[in-house]
Amino acid sequence: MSVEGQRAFGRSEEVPERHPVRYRMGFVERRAPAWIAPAGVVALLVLWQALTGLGVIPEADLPSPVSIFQAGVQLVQSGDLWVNTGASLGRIAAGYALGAGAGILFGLWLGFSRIAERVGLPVAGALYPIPKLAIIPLLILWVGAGEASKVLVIAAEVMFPVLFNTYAGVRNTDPSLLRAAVSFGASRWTLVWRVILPASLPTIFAGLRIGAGLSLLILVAAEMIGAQHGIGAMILQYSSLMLTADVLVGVVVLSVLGLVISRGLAWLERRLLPWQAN
Amino acid sequence: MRLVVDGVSKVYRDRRGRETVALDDIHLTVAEQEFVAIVGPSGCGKSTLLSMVAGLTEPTRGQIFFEGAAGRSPRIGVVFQEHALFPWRTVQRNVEFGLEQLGMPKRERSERAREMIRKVGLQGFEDKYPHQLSGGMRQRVGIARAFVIEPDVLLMDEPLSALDAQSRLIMQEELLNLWESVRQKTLYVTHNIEEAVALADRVVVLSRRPGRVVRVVDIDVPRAARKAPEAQVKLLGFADAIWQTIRHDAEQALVEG
Repeated sequence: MSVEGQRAFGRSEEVPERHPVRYRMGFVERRAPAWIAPAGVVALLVLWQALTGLGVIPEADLPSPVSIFQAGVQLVQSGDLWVNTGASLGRIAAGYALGAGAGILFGLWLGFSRIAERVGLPVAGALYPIPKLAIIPLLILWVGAGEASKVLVIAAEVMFPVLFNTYAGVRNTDPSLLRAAVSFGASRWTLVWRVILPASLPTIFAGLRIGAGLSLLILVAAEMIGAQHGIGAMILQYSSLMLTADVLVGVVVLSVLGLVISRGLAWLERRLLPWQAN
Repeated sequence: MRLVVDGVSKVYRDRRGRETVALDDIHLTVAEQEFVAIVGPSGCGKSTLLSMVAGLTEPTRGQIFFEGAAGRSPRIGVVFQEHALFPWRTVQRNVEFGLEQLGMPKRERSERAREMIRKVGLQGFEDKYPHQLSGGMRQRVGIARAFVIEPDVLLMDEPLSALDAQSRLIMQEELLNLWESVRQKTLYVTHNIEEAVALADRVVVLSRRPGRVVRVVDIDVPRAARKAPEAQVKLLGFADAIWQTIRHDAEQALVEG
């Protein structure tokens, strides 16, 4: 019977049944208050301190945050931390700059020249999968066991992701931008420097970010294989002396270093590429 | 100076050597101050034709040339379908691009670009990047970039097809006003028949595979009078005639893709 029909029979006071439409996407949304992140970190530290302080985990295996902090203060005061961090920073800066520079240059070359692409791409493809630690003995043979071998191995590690990304950026330049530039009379030179290079920068930066993570890894490994100073050497030395808290100071320094490098790169990218959508 | 497309064909050959004739023996002349629209179903090669006129695609046969007295080498201004703005350049610098290639001093090109940006209604947006603009605003930049070099021929490849229906109508009108202020010979490619009829002096209808000129319709209604109801009826008649011509081809295109 229709609604009108029901009304006609004098049942107009009766409220018709309602079936509200419920919002159904609530469980997909992931909401969290802003304070949850720092609160989580603090909670973890407190838990850690409690477990180690109360002796549930022995200090010799995992020192408490407070004793790590104390060890850190001592290392700062004795100057050990600066010497080792300084040595590591110098290596990573030199190796990264060298590797990134070479990666960008070779990547551009492979992207622009068909001959370089045909010859260089398989060569790069064959060299890329070699674990760069494996060539450290070779590098020591060539340039000695000093700084040069460590800088070079970092450079070798950083170079490949930057190279491949640069090459991909050049090759994947939006062809409609090339057509637009040529239609307005752009020369070959203009095309390379004013169109292809800026168009590749976001991809090049992605390569630089990958390279930054790898550089830290290889830095520590190289320092552990043979170095007087450096965070890697420091960690190895203190662990052989069973100074677990000092070892963890080194680990914390590496974590901070990694964060600073990746934040720094993100900052640089925002400054240099303000035109990117995100 | 007029633009002549003289017996131009474009044949694509795939790896096995099979040939596809995209355009077959196209003859076309665009006179001074003439606005010619090219319509046709997808796959008729209309964008290829425009691309060849711009010197961005090589014809297989035939020639394209400017004929008549010219004080300088002819300039070609292209408006692209997906606007093809340089994302790393601001609105101002995008509009300046063509002037840079002409070697114009910085001061002058900056002034000219600013003037053209005002003409397309984007004053205040000079320092914005393309990703900060709406689709309609981006295409205004694309149009400004082509108009500012004072081209001898304007080539527009579906310039409004990325816009929604309402923006499209607004942009049509603005484009026409801008065009009236320069009255430069124009080739305008579109798949939208109403748009072609509303804008052009002459509509060239292409068939599909091979692309051939199957019909040329003179839109003999003065542009200034096209808003009047009687004129609208007449324009509808033109549009319908053109639709009847390409309907079969368009249906084929839908099936074959």
